[in-house]
Amino acid sequence: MRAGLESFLTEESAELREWREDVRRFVHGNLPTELAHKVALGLELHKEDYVRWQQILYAKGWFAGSWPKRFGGQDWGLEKQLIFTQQSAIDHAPMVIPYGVSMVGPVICAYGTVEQQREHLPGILSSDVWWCQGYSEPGSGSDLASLTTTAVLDGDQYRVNGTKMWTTEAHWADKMHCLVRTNRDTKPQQGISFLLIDMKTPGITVTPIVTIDGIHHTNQVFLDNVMVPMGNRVGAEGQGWEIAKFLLGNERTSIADTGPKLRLLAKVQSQLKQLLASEHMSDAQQTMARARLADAEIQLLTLCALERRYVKKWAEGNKPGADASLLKIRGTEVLQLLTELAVEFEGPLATAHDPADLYRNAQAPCNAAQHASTIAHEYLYSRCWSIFGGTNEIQRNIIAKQILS
Amino acid sequence: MEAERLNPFARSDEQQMLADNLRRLMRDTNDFTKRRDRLASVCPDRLALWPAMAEHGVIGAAISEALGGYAGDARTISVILFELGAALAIEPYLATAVIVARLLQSWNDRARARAAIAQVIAGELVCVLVQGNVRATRRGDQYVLSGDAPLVRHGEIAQQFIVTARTPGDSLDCFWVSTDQLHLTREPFRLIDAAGAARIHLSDAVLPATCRMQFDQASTECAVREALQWGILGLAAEASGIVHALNRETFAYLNTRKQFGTVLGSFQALQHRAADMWIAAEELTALIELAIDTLQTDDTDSRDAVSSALKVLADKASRRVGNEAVQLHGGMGVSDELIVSHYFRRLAAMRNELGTEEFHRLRFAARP
Repeated sequence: MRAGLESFLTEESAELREWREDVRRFVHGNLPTELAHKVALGLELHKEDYVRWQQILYAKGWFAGSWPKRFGGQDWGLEKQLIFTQQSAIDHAPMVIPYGVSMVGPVICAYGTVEQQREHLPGILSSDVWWCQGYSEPGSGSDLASLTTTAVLDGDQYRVNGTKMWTTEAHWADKMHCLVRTNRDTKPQQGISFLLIDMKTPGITVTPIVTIDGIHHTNQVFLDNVMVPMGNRVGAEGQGWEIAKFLLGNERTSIADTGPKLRLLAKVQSQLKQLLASEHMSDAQQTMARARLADAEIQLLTLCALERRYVKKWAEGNKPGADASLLKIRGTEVLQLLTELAVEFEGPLATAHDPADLYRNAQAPCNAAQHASTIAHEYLYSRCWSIFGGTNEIQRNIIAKQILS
Repeated sequence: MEAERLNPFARSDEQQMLADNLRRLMRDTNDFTKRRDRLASVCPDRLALWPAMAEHGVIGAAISEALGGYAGDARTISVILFELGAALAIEPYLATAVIVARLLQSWNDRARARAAIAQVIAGELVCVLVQGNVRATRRGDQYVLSGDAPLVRHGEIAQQFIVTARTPGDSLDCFWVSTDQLHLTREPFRLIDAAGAARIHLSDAVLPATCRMQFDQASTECAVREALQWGILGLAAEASGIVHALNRETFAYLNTRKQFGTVLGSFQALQHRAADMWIAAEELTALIELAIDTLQTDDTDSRDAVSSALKVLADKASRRVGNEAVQLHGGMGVSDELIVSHYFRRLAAMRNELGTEEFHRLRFAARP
């Protein structure tokens, strides 16, 4: 069977082609084997695993590649960022956790005061300070602008009250960047401010939310009279919405998230190969299975093509709009399709699933049921992607608004 | 506060009463939170409801009166499994009270069959059909079985197996095998819907010839096929119970959850998706009705074809409604706190039971 789709992902410029080679070489030479192994097996990573890889990248100067040089970055262009993210995922590197370096970091670079930059950027760069994102609330999911967590000035501090929801990795976090309402008497979007909150502040309670995959990734965060120094507000009062939009715009090179999907495709291809070699399938079933894989491959190849095209346009200065929403929709749909195939091609054991298997020792031999657990996990978790970070329904609204106006 | 709902398959007052009683029993014994906590524990009790099912005659209702049961017809079984689906009961009802019970009813060793059926009805015997890659060879008045079955649902809690095996002449045979049979091993594991399963391995397990089962039908192959036709009907009825429940949950959520100052149900794009979920549920109900009638006929080929059609449709409906229910619930849909994600996982498990959608689509295409 033909290898993955990587052979189709050639860059136009020699410089970018070389860059992809550099990334590949670095990952192969520096990614600890145990980590690569865990990622390849689809096991859950611990916080230390992420920190370890991020610190290796930092030592190379590649951790905050997209940041401006004067803040410790490399001024990578969007295309370079895309190749880095995609290629390192293909080569089994853990993802870079975005809440610090990709989300709040660029915000502090762009909107923060010199004091804020001095206080927060070094910890983000060294991965010593871990961040989470307090945006959604129980009553404000898709309609984020309706958020009701309030911050009221009390001397030189804000008194914050409310509840944040779907706060991923809040249980690992030292700090949270948070959207709060500072003014109720104006348009909803204009009454929002952006606060940096220390998770050790009295009044913060983090409760786990277990998701459909049976694992605790995300949380509900209760804020009960949490006092936050005024100096922890980034930008002006009421500028929070603008900052949140800026922040999401920085995420655009990873929105289609093709690296992990290409990695998953390679897994699905080898699953099918094994299945075809077994005696379970009739000729007709084999043909159908091949055709379905080909269909998924074509969809993923198209996603890669779209991603490449849009990133290039954005690099040339176009503003993201419906195109970014398209990538979110198709990216999550292709992911869900691939994980459905993975479940099917796992064969008779397809529906074995014990969340505890996701934390098994990567070095120990695993049985077939434990292997199947990782596949079922991917399948179940994939359902979250079309909901988190702006549902596909909201993305379709954005597209419709743009194409019909 | 919950209004009594009509079971779509109940025709007689008796059948509706059975549905109502079963629903009440499930409400009292299988409350969502208790069930979730029970199944999330380190040693989950996966037979918690079984004694009550026996006591209230739910198991017996799947078995004919001639054999000590109370009904045993296709409609009654559909009525029951519809309710068990909605209640997310993971007890081995389909495997033991429907599939195995069908085989026992046509086992021509009447004495053993009757004894086993009585135990099943009393909730004292969990027996499941083991279909895998097992070969049987005759040695004097004994049989030697070797091979394995990678995933046997409820295999970890069963006390008795009916193992299907191929003989050297490649005909299919069934063997009555106790789970403490020498040279039989089982490796238990958990399934995506929190039920249990086991890999069953036989290596030169020696059985007396009397353990080879013979049936009233023309061949063992026919007997197994027939039992599986009933199994697919029951599975589809269970899926139907879940699909109806998910639709009810989702439509209620769309009518209460507010975003952008209005209920979600006021958005036409979502209304249309709800309409498609309803259509999927209606289609499934209709095809189950048709299958109930087909199972009464003697035409084995038609019964096979309709069973395959039903499994394909049930899998399609379950995929559409499961996906949409989760998506339309937003974040709450992927949370373990709500029953929605648990229904979703049960449906995912069902698609891998009794033959996949692809298998049945091809079998339907190849019908005579």
